[in-house]
Amino acid sequence: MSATNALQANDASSRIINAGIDLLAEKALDEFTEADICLRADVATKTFHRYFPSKEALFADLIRDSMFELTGDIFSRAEERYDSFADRLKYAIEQIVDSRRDYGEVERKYYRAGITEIASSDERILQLYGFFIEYFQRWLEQGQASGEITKNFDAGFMAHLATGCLLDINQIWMNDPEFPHLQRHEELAVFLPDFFAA
Amino acid sequence: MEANIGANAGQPAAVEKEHLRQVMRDFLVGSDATAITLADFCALAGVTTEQFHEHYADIQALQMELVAALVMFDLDCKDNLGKLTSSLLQRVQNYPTNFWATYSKEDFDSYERNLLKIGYAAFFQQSAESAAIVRKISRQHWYGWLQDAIQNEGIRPVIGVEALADFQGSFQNSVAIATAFMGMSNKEGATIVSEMQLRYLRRYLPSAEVSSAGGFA
Repeated sequence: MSATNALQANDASSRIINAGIDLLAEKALDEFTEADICLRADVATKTFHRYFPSKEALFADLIRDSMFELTGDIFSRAEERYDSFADRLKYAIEQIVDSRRDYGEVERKYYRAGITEIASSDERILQLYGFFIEYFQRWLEQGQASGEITKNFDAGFMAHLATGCLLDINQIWMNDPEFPHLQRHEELAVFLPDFFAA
Repeated sequence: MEANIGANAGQPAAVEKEHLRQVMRDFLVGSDATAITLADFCALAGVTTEQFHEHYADIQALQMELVAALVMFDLDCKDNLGKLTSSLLQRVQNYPTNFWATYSKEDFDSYERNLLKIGYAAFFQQSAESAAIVRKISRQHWYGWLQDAIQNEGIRPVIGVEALADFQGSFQNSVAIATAFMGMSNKEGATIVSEMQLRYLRRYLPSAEVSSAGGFA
């Protein structure tokens, strides 16, 4: 692909994403179609499908980007900067909360659309869980080695519980805009190190 | 039930709901997939789609009825536990034993694992109203039990009761997910969570001890 074509391709993809977000800001997911997105983005349906198999997949990609890339960066920085499970979790959750302070109805709606798509496949659910479990398990194992975390229980199992709590906060919020998701994140940063303490 | 089919020529005979439920149970036992088309299911059940629609709007409605039965079983178990015992530690300690004793199975088989898969996928895809109900039922017992413990036993958790109840509900969901998707033993998972909860709660209620045999020492 030439440089010009690559730029055009990126441009089309960005327009599709922006059009999808705009439409989701205005309507519920089931109130607009792929054709509406294409019209708003000024692209052909064929072009849309070159990037996304469906409108749900578009939002799943957005969620994956924000979850895996943004959260991945945050978790990676937490691991570099701090040694203990408590400090790493506190830092990661502070960063997550900061990144979501301005989240409103649109973010909640596209989160819901994306998660619904992820949940349609066992493989994607496992990928989503696996991503968080991997980090938590490493932090918990290191915490066990340093004496911070209890050795009575398997680090993998504890990592699974931690992941469940973190993802549940988002899942409750996606269905209930009144749910205090930022506060619950902060409470999780206090609760988990205490719950898993040696 | 098959005897009912075609009893009156030209008019579908009545099909009992239980027949459809039983065919779906049989399908989910030992099945790797939880998805089945309406046409395939009707062929399997030996019924017409009209007969199916007398009872259910779609396959998901039938499957969710079976999921609901499993959820109700769990809720009944917690209700009974709440009536039989008054202390939080006893309730937490006795929950897995009580559930499995009443459930009378050593562990979940493929049928229950498939129900959890169906229920979990539906949890994401349902309306905000039904999601709120699911959240309420998975946390309401914990919330009530914690309130009782704060009022009657002097437990002072470091975070709010609503948050604590949410997290305990999340633990239960996590075990369900691990059972459904990762092949974990549901009984073992529930028992370990109970042990972890007891260990945690004892720190906030140092005056109460639970003997290894159960009940207060």
